[in-house]
Amino acid sequence: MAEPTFDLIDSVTLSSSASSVSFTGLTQSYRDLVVIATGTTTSSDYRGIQFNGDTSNSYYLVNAAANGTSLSGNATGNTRVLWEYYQPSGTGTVNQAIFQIFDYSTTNKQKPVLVRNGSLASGDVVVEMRATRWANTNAITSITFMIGTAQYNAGSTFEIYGVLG
Amino acid sequence: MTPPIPLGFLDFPTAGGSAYDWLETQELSSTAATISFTGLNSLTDYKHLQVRAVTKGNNSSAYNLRYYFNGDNGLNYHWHYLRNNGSGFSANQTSASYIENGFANGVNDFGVSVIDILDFSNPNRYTTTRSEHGLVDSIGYNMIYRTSGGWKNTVALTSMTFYPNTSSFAIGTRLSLYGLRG
Repeated sequence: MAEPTFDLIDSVTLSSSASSVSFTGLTQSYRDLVVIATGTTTSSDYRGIQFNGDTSNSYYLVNAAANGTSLSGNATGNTRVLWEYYQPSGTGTVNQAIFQIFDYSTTNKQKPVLVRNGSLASGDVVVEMRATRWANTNAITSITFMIGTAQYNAGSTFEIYGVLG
Repeated sequence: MTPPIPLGFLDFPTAGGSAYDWLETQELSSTAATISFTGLNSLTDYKHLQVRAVTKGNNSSAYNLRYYFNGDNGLNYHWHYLRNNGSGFSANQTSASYIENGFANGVNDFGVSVIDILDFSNPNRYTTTRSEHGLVDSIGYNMIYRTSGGWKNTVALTSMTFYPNTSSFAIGTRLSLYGLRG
């Protein structure tokens, strides 16, 4: 029963800066989602993804990070699945994150997410790995990339892939 | 919204089509001590395998996900990890009769693992694995891991068996197998 998968569901490349990017009406035909985001921001600020418009403190995480000189970690709740925990400074910093969202269409499990991200700029680098649990059993029907008060710059890209399983 | 485009993330123009294929899923409707994938020697189109696992143990001690190959549960495996529980990093290496994803099985909630099994049919190399896995459980288990492992045997894989360190897997535990061409 071999079935090709890892299908591009949707993608956005910003032609101008934006404070958020939303994917709505997500197909429920897959088992997992893989979300890949690359971009820069107008200023240093916390960014991440929220599911189904949920802005409550219901995203619980454990994080591990290294910046070339020190190691750090944290376990806490947050109002989003963080793109990065230790936000880099500088508007020219290129950031990339891969979010793996498991069983996103189920209605009897809270949603676990694995995140890998890295940032690269002169004098400001970090690599992180993170596990997050969205404490909600609803199927995920929308994903919103948000950021505090800054904006994602033009040229930032956001892609969602579906994985059968 | 753009309709799904079945390109395949790793697609490349060959007669075989997509490079990443979903092969099999096992999801528990009742508790089980083990979950196995068999007949792997028939997967001649693929170079590597991947297992995506969403796992929960049947009690608060069953938090480690273990696996072995071809029914071999002798002391023929080695694995090492880097992890953080939110308070600090730790690392270790172990020789054992299995490869272990520590704190991969949740108790109240599900842990997740993505396990890559590399060169699974190459008769000239030991089988190696690479895993990223994590757990944020409302019982208080919080862990993020990178684990690498190896099976000190060059024979091609015919089976993989997964089990928790004690007790059994809980209902809802799901393992999905994928093949990667190369």
